Amino acid sequence: MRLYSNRERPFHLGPLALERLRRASTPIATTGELPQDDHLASVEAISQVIPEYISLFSRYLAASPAVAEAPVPADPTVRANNLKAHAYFLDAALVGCCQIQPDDWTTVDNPAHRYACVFVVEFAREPQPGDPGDRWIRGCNVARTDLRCAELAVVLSGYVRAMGFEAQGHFCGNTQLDLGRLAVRSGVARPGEAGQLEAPYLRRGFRIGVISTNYELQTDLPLAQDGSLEPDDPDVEQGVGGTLPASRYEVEESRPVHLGRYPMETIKRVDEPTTLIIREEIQRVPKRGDFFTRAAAGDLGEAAKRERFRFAMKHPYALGMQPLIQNMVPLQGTRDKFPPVAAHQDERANAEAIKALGYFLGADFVGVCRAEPWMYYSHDHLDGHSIDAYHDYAVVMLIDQGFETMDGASGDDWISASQSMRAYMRGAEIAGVMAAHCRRLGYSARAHSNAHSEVIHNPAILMAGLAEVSRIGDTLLNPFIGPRSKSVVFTTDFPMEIDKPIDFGLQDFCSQCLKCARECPCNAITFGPKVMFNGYEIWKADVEKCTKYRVTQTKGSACGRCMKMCPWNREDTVQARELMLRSVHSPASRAAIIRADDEEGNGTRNPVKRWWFDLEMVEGVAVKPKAGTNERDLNLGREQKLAAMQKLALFPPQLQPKGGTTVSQTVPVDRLAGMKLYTEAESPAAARERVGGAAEVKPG
Amino acid sequence: MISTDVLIKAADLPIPAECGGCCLCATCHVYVEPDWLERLPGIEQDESNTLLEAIAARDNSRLACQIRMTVALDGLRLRLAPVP
Repeated sequence: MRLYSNRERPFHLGPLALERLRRASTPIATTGELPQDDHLASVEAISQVIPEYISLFSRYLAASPAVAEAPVPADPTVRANNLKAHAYFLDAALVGCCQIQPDDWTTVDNPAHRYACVFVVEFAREPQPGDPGDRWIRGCNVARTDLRCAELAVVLSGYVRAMGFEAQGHFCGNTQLDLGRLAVRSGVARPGEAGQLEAPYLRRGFRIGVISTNYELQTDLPLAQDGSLEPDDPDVEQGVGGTLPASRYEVEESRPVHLGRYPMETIKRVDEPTTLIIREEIQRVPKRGDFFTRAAAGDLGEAAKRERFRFAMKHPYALGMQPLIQNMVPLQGTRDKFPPVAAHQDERANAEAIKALGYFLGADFVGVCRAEPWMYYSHDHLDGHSIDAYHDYAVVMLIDQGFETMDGASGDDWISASQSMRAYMRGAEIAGVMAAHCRRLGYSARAHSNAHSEVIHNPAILMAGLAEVSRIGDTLLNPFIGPRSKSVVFTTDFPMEIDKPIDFGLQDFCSQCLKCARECPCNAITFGPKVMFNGYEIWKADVEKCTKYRVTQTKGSACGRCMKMCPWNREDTVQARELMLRSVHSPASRAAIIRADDEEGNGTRNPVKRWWFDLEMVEGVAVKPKAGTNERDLNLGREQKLAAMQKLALFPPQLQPKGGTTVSQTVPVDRLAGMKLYTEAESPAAARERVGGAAEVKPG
Repeated sequence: MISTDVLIKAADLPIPAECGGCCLCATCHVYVEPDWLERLPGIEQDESNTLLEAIAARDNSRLACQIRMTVALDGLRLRLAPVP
């Protein structure tokens, strides 16, 4: 949490004030050793399962570039800033660029690239001895951080190659370059007295990755050998201008790792979610009924079928993530039962250790719930086989998509899908490693990512206490980051204490706020009340419209405009946190908070944060988008007209393809029937009365 | 082929065409002059469904995003319908 807003700070400058450091006047050619783990890992350490992911990622460091160069600016400063921003978006702490000299290569057989983009990823905080997760986590920072460097190396080099330029990713253990020399030359690190590299502003260890390329980049100068790595300047220390304050380490140290950085323990817990769930009325649904699958099968028409496999990867950045997202699926794990294990009997300790592990690997929120049978899909979509519920527990995690990029975007322009894919990719990586770890401990476990999932995430998110149902409908909302997240789940038989659902007053808030509905480009979010849908109380969005728009729109890649527009999509500042607390604890303030959100212009695009190139992949080449770019800000005052014309459809199980239907069979969407069902949908109040006894949760 | 909502926008006329041609929002609703109605390609089911959401729809209502401009439509006359 920052004291000062960073909304005037260009994204390519990164979260730390690199620009405030003294630089050497000329390039220097020294190197240094990278920081190592401070202590040995235990036999149960997570580092034991990371190598298979590093090995997978290593396959995608190099490839041929696209056959034509993208129409990007020739100015090397613009290019360097753009590439740095891409690295910061993937959570690099520091990024610099330099030229590669011939003797930087450690092998004769090398691609002879001339430029390097060097990124630093900081170690994560480890638990203290005796704290939850210590035996799994301590001594694993090198493995964890090299994995992250490998991820960045694959994605960034893939991005540059998709733009038609040669590029190769490098990280420790898989490189032909002296990474230390490049880190020094690009000004992101400096050799210390003992020969170990030191990085400015970073008090923990770190690892380094590099993209080598012939894409011309403006170079940075090395850090001055006699300059401070953390200037004695109150503005820098306090983070004036929006950089991370020096106090962040103390703040983090004040909380156990397993609680995460957001104080979810301060949010009220309830026995049942704030929205009605009638478990005995929930019909399990086949994966074939998911609307992205329906699009792939042709149920939504030819355009949606054609675009389904392209829409999320239309930008070269998202395309750079595709190899990892797709190829992590075979590592996701097993459904098979394992023989009973005698160890790990303390369910509370197990849950806390799992949470600590999730946070260590980079999740923003971790919760645990029962993997109830109704959370599993009923049938597979490829061959139609039935799916039986197989694990007892679900570990549910949210990955923040990041405020800054949301701030710069319309929500449905050319960065939109990359925002989603980054979070999906990171989530799959974290959940995959955690599931592998559980299996190594002797417990069956399987990750459920966006690329392959056999559980429906939303009920798990709800039951694990990470979010409440929001007006957006099929996107749930967390009090600290709003709807701005992607989820990942892994199911397991590792026994854990489960969390309870949360109540932070959202049902009352969303009852008063119509902003996501007003700003939806396809009028798919309801202006009306909640309805009952397959046993759930929900503001039901029109998923046919939403899916069609995300898949077939031509002026951007996918859409997350509802997330961008939500008043709970706030900057991570002290002031925004105070506003969040008032939204939670002061029902009387909510109407004013909603009104003020519009009056302050929240939801307009912030040009300072527009760091990406508008590009579209067409037949394997990145080109200027043919149809242009969605340019949207606020559409004030049109709620009533939109509400009057809105006719939504819903598609409960009886309007979905039957279990056993495969993706090779087309089952056209029956929209008229769906529209009729929406008008006939049961109200939650009527459902409560019908089932008896389930009292409506009063606004919290 | 360019759809007529793009041409209307290019002429700086007030047509939101919010969903950009996806046939989802009915904010490119237009009235077709009667003598041109028969000469347009027929209405597909998607357009027909979305026109259910149009404000003040009439028998000659169409969505501009679904009318692709061709030489045969040179001289086409449309009126902008009320939209949010």
